[in-house]
Amino acid sequence: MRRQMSLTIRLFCKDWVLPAFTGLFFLYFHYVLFDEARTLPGDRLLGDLAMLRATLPLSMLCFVFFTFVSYYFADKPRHDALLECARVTRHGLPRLYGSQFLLLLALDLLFTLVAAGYNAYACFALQIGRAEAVLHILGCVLLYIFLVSLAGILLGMAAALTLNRFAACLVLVLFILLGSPLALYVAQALYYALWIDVFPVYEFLCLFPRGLESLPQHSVGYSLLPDRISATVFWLALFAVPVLWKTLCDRRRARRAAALACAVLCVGSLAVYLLPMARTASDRSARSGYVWDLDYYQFAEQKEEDGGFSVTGYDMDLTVGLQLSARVTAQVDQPALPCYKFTLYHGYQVSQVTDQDGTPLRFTQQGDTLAVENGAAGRVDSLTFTYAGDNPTYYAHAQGINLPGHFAYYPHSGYHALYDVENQSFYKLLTEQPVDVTLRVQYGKTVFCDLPQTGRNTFAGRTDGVTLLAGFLTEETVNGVQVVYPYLDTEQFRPEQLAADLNGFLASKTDGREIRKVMILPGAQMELHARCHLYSDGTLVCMQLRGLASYYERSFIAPQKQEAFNLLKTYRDDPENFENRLAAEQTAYQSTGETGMAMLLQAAVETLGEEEALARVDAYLADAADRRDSREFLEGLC
Amino acid sequence: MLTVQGLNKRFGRKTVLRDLSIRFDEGVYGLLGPNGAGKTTLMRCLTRLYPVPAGAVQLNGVSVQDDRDYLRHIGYLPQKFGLFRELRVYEMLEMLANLKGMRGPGVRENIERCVAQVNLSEHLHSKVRTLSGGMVRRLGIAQALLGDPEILIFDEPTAGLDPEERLRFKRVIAEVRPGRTVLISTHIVSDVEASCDTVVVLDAGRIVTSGPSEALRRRAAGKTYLVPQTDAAGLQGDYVVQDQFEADGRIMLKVLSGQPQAFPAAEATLEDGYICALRGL
Amino acid sequence: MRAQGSVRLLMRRMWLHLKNLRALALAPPLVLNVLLPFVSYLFYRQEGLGSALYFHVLEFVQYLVPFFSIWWVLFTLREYVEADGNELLFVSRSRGKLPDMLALFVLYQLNAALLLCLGGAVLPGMQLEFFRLLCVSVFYFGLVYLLAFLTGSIILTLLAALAYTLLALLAQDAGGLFLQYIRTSPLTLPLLLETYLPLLALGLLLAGAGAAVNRFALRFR
Repeated sequence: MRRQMSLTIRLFCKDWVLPAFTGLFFLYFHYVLFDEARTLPGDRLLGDLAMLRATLPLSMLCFVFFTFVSYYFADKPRHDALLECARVTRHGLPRLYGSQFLLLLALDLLFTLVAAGYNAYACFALQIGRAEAVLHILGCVLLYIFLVSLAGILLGMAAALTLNRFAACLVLVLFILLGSPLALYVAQALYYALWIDVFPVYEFLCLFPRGLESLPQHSVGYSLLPDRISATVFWLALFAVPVLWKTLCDRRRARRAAALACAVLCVGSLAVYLLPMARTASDRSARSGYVWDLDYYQFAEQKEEDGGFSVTGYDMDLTVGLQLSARVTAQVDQPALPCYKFTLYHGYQVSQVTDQDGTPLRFTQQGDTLAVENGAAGRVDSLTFTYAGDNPTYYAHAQGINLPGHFAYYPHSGYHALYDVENQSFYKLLTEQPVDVTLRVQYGKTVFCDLPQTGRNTFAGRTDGVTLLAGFLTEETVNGVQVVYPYLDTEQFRPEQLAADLNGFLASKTDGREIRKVMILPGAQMELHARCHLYSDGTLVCMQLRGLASYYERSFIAPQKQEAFNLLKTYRDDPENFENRLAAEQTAYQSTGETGMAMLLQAAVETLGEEEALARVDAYLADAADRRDSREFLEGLC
Repeated sequence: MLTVQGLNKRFGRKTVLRDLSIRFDEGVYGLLGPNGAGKTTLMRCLTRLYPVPAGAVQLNGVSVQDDRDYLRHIGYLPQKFGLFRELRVYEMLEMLANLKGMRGPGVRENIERCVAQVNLSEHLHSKVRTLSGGMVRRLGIAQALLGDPEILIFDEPTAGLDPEERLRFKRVIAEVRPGRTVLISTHIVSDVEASCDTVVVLDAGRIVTSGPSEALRRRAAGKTYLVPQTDAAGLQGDYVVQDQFEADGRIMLKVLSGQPQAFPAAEATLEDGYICALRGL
Repeated sequence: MRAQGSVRLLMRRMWLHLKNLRALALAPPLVLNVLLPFVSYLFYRQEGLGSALYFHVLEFVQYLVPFFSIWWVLFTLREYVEADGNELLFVSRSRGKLPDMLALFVLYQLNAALLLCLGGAVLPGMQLEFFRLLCVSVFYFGLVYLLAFLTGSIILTLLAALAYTLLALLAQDAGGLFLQYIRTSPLTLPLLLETYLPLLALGLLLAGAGAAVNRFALRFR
């Protein structure tokens, strides 16, 4: 075999073209990574994932490179008349193609080691001391550089061994284009124009990393979810089948065994891929983040109905694996209702509802509404819900958990509209009063919760909303406040920056409310007023510390009052801007006859006097019982 | 008349043709030589695929570099031939005729005539990729005949052909030779014997010998011996074992030697003469 | 008269070249005349008429039109570069194959020009984008022509063209080096001078280098 390898290397180098292309690509590969390495920490917005972010786009180029080089190299014996010689030699074909494969594999390893080396250097330079983060980075390199390139090698060899040149070119180009951003573009066009969802096909065909168009989520990094791994393994196994079949043609038993093993691997990985699980979505796909929910709620009916009861306590057993599985027991204060109405996000499918005695009860789940019929016993003290599912924005999967307390991932009494279509974000849904909650989470990583911890990933306490976070997070105490934050986001959360921002916020806060914990949510589409919330247990859940004072102030204002709040703030803090807005509205009024909001406030100020008018606005904003929207209020004010 | 005068050809540090001079008149010339002798290089020089110094190759006294229409006089069949496999035979010939610059209504007739000459008329509308190896070779000959060139250059035209196809090739050569200069490079000596008037032996870029095939055969006369294998130790001086066969239960060696040997002489063949020329016997 | 005959010969050769490609020859017309209009229609349904539609279509044509401009050229060059007996194709008075390849390239560009003219009837200004695409296509042409003769391999030439397209996709709107040609802003004079004309010039240079390799440094199988 050593001799064969030496001959294969000579064959590779014999034609100057292959080493030249390999060398050029290697240089380019180096250049990209070196350029990032020398400017570390690089783009601050990328935080400690900057080097990984620079590495991952190379995945597609590596795939293309290895596919074509592998095809060219594996096709050479056919044209150099070596193939027939190998065919009539004992073990000729396996040796010939086996050594070619090993050489290409060695090249693949070389590229992978280079990428891993640069990323390891970045971990060292950026002082990423946590093993989980380092392993994640190296895992991404392994999946997206090594395995994807390996898939390219096998695809190229399979095409060389089974197809004529024209067909091979077509197949290779098609496969690459179908997994490229170009195909995503077409898929997006098909979806939004004709509501034909081909994203699942694209996501199965595309081996490359997602989410490269936007900033990474620092709490989870890039996807190493089971769907990505199983899809990659599927294609690897599929491409390996014709390669093994053709090269082991003189060893029938080995050929059948190898092909069978690959086929089993294929089927197995496909089966895994098709399991219900939280999936990686490309940024532009129908499954990505807020698009998923916006598309659903645009056409879904959302109900508002009082359930006639309250939940007095929760006992939750959550398991996070491929997706969230939950067993939640809710104590109710009305034992004899004929039907108990709950709200649970529609992405979680309820499989069973039982009463306090374990008797299954009939239930109807439609969209976000869940109606449970009272059983034969006629008395219900508690209801236990068994359900599973996921949501792309508020996820729970192998890499992390992002379940804020205002999201209906556990049942709430009554029917409630969950999603604000106009503002493209979730409403905050909380229990009316704080309730007792005990919670156990089966999860490999450390889970952070707003409730006090009573054991490993076990929590108990009293709150109006249970927030769960997990991933690349850490907890620190700053000025007596516990802060849970993504430590890879060094742009925002360098220790000194964190302390400065938090202390600045605490100093600016004048409402006297106690904040004992701050939990940073990963990025999600949220309106300004929804970007932070202070729960009854003193936990402030927010998206960032910078500018927190502004979000904090807003968070107490109901959504329909936000416009009035903005106007008042502008009037007080930025009079020049207010004047500009007023002038613009007055000009628009000339042509449209529509009275703008600034005009209404100005009229109120002129009628009531500035002090009185502004005091009334303040009172309106603070009055939870006043449910009028901003325009209605200002028109009434005049 | 095609003249080569003092032709040298180098590729990097390797000299492939050394001061080669020869004249090709009307007739069939067989270029014999071992691998790497320079046969293909010579042919490529004659077809201007490789640049040659001015005056090194002349057609009727005009340097081929200066003759714009030189290639119209050339019909060339390369060693490997497998072009335009997705076209039909007629279309493929039409393409090659087009590349030769042939135009006008006579092209179709010319194509059909060339195809008929190589006995492929019934496959005129078949796809090239459906033809057998021998048929593709014949097609190659047909394309070389397009435009009725005076000079035909065939590089190893019978390589890989079965005996029947080779016989057919010889017949075609016999048909097309009148009024033409035909150069056939090969290392199958029997093909040269049957078809060629003049044999040119090349070795290491030089012409070793050139002349009628009979003269080459005679070169081995008196130098060919039959020696029992068991008596091979009795051979004197330099010799070459040309062949080995069994006769009357004994292994016999056919030996070529420049020195007289005490063994019975054998009848010399063209192949023997070729070996003698190469080895300088 | 002679020129007319030459043109007729050229056109006949082009037809036979395309016929030799079989199904592969259909890819560029399908992309230009089916895929692009279909996707443009999808964008129209999504965005309606307006600037959003314009930019979507602009982005999409930049992805596809330049890459497929070299499709015919690339696979036709296979005969000249890789086929058994390819030397025979150079035993002719015109050893250079640039005119033949240019003819195929121009044929494609005519189709693209027609498409963009028709598009311009719906999206004013789209006709001008043809010049942007032409500059980029010339670069692709030069790259492919040079690499095909230099490497003697269509597969590796295709690798280079595809890799360049993907790089341009990934570095969209990055600016900087002019080789990154995909922009979502309309064509302006500064953009033309800074990005597209240099690409055009480079393409011509590469094509010239390819022609030199074609004439003087051919490799035969």
